Parts: sequence; structure tokens; C-alpha cells
Amino acid sequence: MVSGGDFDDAGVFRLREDLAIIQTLDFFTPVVDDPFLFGQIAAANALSDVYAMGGTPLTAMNIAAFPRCANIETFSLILQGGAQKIGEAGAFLLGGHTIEDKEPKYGLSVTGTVHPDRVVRNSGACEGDLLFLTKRLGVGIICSAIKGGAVKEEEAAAVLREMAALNREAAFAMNKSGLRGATDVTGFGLLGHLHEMCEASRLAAEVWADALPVWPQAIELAKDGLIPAGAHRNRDFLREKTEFVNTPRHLQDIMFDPQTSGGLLLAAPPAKAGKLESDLERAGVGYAIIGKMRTGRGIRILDRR
Amino acid sequence: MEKLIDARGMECPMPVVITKKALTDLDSGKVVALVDNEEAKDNILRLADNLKLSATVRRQAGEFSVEISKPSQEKRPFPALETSAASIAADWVLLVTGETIGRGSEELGGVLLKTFFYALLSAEFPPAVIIFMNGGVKLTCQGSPVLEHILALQAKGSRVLSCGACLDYFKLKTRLCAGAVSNMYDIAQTMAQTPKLVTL
Repeated sequence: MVSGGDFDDAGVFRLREDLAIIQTLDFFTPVVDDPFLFGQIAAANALSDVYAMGGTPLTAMNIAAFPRCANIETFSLILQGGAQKIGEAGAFLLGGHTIEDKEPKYGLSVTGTVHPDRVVRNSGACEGDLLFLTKRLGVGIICSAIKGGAVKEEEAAAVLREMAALNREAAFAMNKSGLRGATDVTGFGLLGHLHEMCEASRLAAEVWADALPVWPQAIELAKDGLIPAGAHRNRDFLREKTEFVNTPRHLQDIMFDPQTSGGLLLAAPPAKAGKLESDLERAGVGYAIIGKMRTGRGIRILDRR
Repeated sequence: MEKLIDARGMECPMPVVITKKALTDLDSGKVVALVDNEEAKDNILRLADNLKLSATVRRQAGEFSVEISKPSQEKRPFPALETSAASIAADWVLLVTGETIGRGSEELGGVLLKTFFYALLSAEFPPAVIIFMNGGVKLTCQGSPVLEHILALQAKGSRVLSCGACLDYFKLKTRLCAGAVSNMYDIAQTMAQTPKLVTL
């Protein structure tokens, strides 16, 4: 039902009239020092692809790489962190595979289920849909500053906690409101993933810079020019597709910042937006309405609504 | 004093991170950073600009040398990052139990609180620990009118603790922006150990 063409978050395969499976795989090198937390973040990130497609995670397999001489206790903590998140998602860990490598890596292959009529896709956004974002931006900037020693991990505790949070509640609210268009915000940054949604839906989007939820630490770091290389690559790739109207440079960088385990980007028809808001609020999910879908092509960033 | 940084071959943001550290460590003088790509050069120039320091760029054979001057002055353009022992010499703990100060007018109380945190920023001895309880936890979360001040105090070395049960009660756990989540056990210990507890 869904494969690579429209840049969706996972593949979908119909098994029966009323049942399809969603399959995805994601793994990466440590983004934080704390091994348990890294395991949690990597697992939440992999599980998120299933949530973004409207599905429920069913089973998961570990995929990992670890150096031969490193402390096995550290490796065990990474796996425990991942297992905790799999349990929280209500999925079953079936096994996995580890290879030897100089740099540790961890992630999951996740299989989820969904009703074939209720698959949520990149291509499902419609003109006039309001764009909801359910996690704050700037985590790539903050994590690379932690890696470089410019920020202490403890100072960013709230940021890391939000990275480790599942997108489950946000997805639940999305499904309850019957949305059809969504994705999760990860390596290509907010604008990269919004651009994919625009292309797949054959539409344009506008973003309101003053409405963006951004970690305050990321604003300070971005003003100081502490921008990860990935943000520059995203900017270069999207140069022709984005138009900034009076947007300060540091906010532009934050919109290009690669996110790890970012939030869901939901396209909600105005008639469903009110219910979505109340469902998100009731579930305790932080969110912001950051823009809307329009006819045409490309993304225009305005300073306000 | 002049310090030379060779950041060639490094991926962003590392060139900026080490340049920033060199500038922080330097009392006055020059930092010259060598980089081999345009982005690193631009980002270092933004750092200088944000710190209100003057910078010049020389380009040679695809590489850039960025020279940043830091004038000697009593008023340093940015505070040192480390928490010096002196700044927490007067160990005191601040307990914030609401969003406002005092009774009589909510509106006035909010203004007073804002002014209080602003004033606290320039105090010689900021609190060693700031504990937020009950409605006070709204101040460490997204949308707080004093979030910037709290983050600045944190950068100066104050530990910021928000009561976990209170965050749960107000459903704010996912919106916490500053400091760590704490529990009553830690909070009680902190209060019991401090020579000076100030309650708002």
C-alpha cells in the first residue's frame, strides 16, 4: 500500500481487507552519554514511524553495534532503555542482532498494525489544513552542543526527557480526530519533513515563525552560531523550496535543525482542529499550531499568522 | 595574548564550540580560528557578532582565518561559564510556591515576581538552589514569563528543581523547560541542609 515513493515514514502492506502491517527500521549512534537514556531515545524514535502512519506497534527487534572492548554493562543499559520504551508502547521485543563495530549504534525494527482505511500518510494533507507540531524544536543543536561540551547534559534534562517521550498520545489524538495527513519530524528538520508532506500532497505550506515551539537553550546556541552540519545540509537541499519573510537567521537554522525523536507534524482540517486541540490537551501533549497548507508549491515562512 | 585554533577538518558546530571556549577562557586578547569551510566561518562570525566582539576574516586558498579581538575591560561582554566557588559562597535556597508574590492583587503579584527574578539575576550571590512547588512550577514551564531569567540563573550556577507531583497535577511534565524534576524527599533534604531558606 505504501512504499518509498512519497517519502513516508514506513512501509505498509495489506494482509486482509481489515488489516495491514507497518514496517520500519531506524538506528543511530549515541546522541547522549547516558546509555539508558540513549536506548530510550533510539527506541522512541523508531517506534515513532509507526505512530506517524496511524498504527499501533506490535513487535520490535533490536539492531545494535558495539565495540569489542567496551564495557558490557553500558551495552546492557542501552538495551534496557530500549526495552523499557517497547514495553511502554505495549509492543513485544522478539529478539535482535548485534555486530561488532568501533562506534556503538542502536535502534529498532518495528512492526505495527493498522486498518488499511486508516493509514495516515505524508500525502494526506489538504488545502487549508492547520499544521500541529507536538514536540519542541532545536534538539539537534542542543545535542551537538552537549557532545562538544558547550552544554552539560544535566542542564538539558527536560530536552532529553521530551526526546525520550513516545509519540503515542499524540498519535492517539490524531487517530481519534480521524486525520489523514501526518509525519514525524526527524533528520531533515521541520522544513525538510514539511517539504516532503507538501510534495506528496501536491500542495504548498506557510509557517508562522512566532508560533514555533522552540527550546530556549536552542535559541541561545543558534544565536552563537552553534549549528550542526546536518542543519546546513538541510538548508542547502531546501534552498530553492523555502522563502523566508523577515525570519531571523537563528530561527531559520532551528527550522532546518535535524531532530532526533522529534514530534508529530499533523495536518488537521479546520473543522477537526478544535477536537484535536482538546484531545491533545487532555492527554497532556504539548503542541503548537505552526502554519497551514495552501495551494501551490514550496514553503513560505512568515513572521506571524 | 593571542590564541590560535586550528579547526580545519572539523564538522560544525565543533569549530564554534572551541572558539567560544577559547574566548571564554581568555581575559583579553585575540583568538584566531582557522577553518576550511564557509559555514564554519559564518557561524564563528555570528558568535562574534552575538558576543559584540569585532572580527575580521582573511581568506587564503579555500581556507579562512577568523580573528576575534576581545578588549580588556571590567565589564566582560559575557559571564564566565563556570560556577565559581565564590558565587555560591552565600549558600541559600529559594522556595517558590506560586506564580505571584504576596496577597492583595494577582496582577501586582505577577509584576512583582517578574521584577524579583530580574533583580535576582544581578544579585552578587544567586541562590544555590531554587525549588518550585505548587503553582510555582508553572514558572519553569513553557510560557512562563520568567523562563529566561530562570535559565540565566541556571547558567550562573543555580540548581533549579521542580516538584514532580506538582508538574503532574498541572499536567505540565511535557512542558518543563528549565532544570530537573525533583521529589519531596530531595526537596526536604535540601531545605533541611541549607543555612538559609527564603520562601516566596
